[in-house]
Amino acid sequence: MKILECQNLTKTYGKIPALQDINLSIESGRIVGLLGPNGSGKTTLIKLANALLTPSQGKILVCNTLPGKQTHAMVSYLPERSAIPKWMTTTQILDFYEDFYTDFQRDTAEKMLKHLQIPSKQRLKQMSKGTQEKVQLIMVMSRLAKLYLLDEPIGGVDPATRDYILSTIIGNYNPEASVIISTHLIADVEKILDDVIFINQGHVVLQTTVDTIREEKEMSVDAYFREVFRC
Amino acid sequence: MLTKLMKHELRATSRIMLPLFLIVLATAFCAHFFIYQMVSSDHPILYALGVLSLTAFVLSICGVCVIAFVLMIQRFYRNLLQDEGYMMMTLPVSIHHHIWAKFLVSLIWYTATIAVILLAFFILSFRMDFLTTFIHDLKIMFSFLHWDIEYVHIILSCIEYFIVFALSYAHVCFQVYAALAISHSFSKHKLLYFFLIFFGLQLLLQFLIALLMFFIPLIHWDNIISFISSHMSMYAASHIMLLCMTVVSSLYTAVFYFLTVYFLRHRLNLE
Repeated sequence: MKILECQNLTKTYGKIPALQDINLSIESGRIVGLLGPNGSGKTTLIKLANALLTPSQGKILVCNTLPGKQTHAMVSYLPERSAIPKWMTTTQILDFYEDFYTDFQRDTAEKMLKHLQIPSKQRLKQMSKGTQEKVQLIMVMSRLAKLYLLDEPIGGVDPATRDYILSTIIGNYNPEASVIISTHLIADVEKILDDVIFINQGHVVLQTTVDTIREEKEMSVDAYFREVFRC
Repeated sequence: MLTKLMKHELRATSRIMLPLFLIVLATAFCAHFFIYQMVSSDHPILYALGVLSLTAFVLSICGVCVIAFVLMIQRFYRNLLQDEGYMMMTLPVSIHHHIWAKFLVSLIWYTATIAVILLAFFILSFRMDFLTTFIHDLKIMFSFLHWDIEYVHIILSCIEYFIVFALSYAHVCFQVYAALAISHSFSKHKLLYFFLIFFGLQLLLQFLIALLMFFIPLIHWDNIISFISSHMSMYAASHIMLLCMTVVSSLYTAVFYFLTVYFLRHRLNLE
């Protein structure tokens, strides 16, 4: 089943094109890397899938439905920015997610928070940046969603935290769901990806599997990315 | 979902408003204590404390009013149009629920602010014989009323005045929300656009009212007024007046509301 589908999708900010005539589809049960340099349109595509933007032309479908209130219940989104209010305590964040998402697994989230030794009464603003990102990721990955959209989940954190984040993604996502990870740190995420989509200046340059790149090009995805996007 | 949104919105705002209410009541108690000490004693320190406590009381009243209004704007802007919007606008909740949750909680705090201010003034002016005098005066007032019909009119009028009060507040709220939603759809100079759009909407409203006033002399108001005074009681006339105010207020509040919905749904521009 197609989890995400773009049909002639175009998005412009005024006269500046962010995405141009994108056609792609992602099947369920795949971990997909949305890879591209800065400003290539990765975040724009993810925001369109979350109904945070409206297409200029064409359409985007999530589980054959236009993005909106219905798809929000099926999609678990980790934004690039820290979106959880900083005044909230860990318990209040758990209450919030439990209230609004019927697929939220509170036990799973509490177990992961306990593993990280994050006190239940500690406010987000009292935590380090890396810990805040981990808390946000734990909430997102504790849902049994059909589609996980992770925008730059490992940017701006140390290598040990990156490993933790990637292991959390692999260890907790719904196996029948798809995960789309948008990043430019390819070497770190390559090991968990099934498919890759290369995007540049609003165009899809390549959509293929990781195994195909390794077999046909005889190089890693990171090396191939550097070759394709060489300045 | 609306009640859940309101629950979390109350949680977010009560940590600011409740301490402010406590400060207002505390300054009222202090002012009450020191003013009576000031009046009964010539001691200069007590006099200075009385003046200071009264000043603190006045400042706390002004502060709570300003903060209640600013909080209304800040919660909508920060929670829906800034970074927190990435979480809020991806909830499985309709735009209507988001807007209503913000407005209703804001209205609750606005009403609570008025109640706290009235309570603070009551505390400030309280005397031992105050309550007995007040109850005595109330009894005299009610003794003039005919309970069967006037009681109903009074209760109905209270409800109607509250509706007009709520609608007046809704008008301001939704005008602010509309200006925020529209200005945020631009990529630059959002604050400037907010003020331009807010005052622009106000000017447009004033222009439409002025246009309406142009047509008023064409209506035979004398005939209408003589009909009302000869066929309706004073109570009925006041209900009709309040109903007209409610309808007109609802109309332009609805315009601001749907402008807000449109821009949040189709022109959201979270950076």
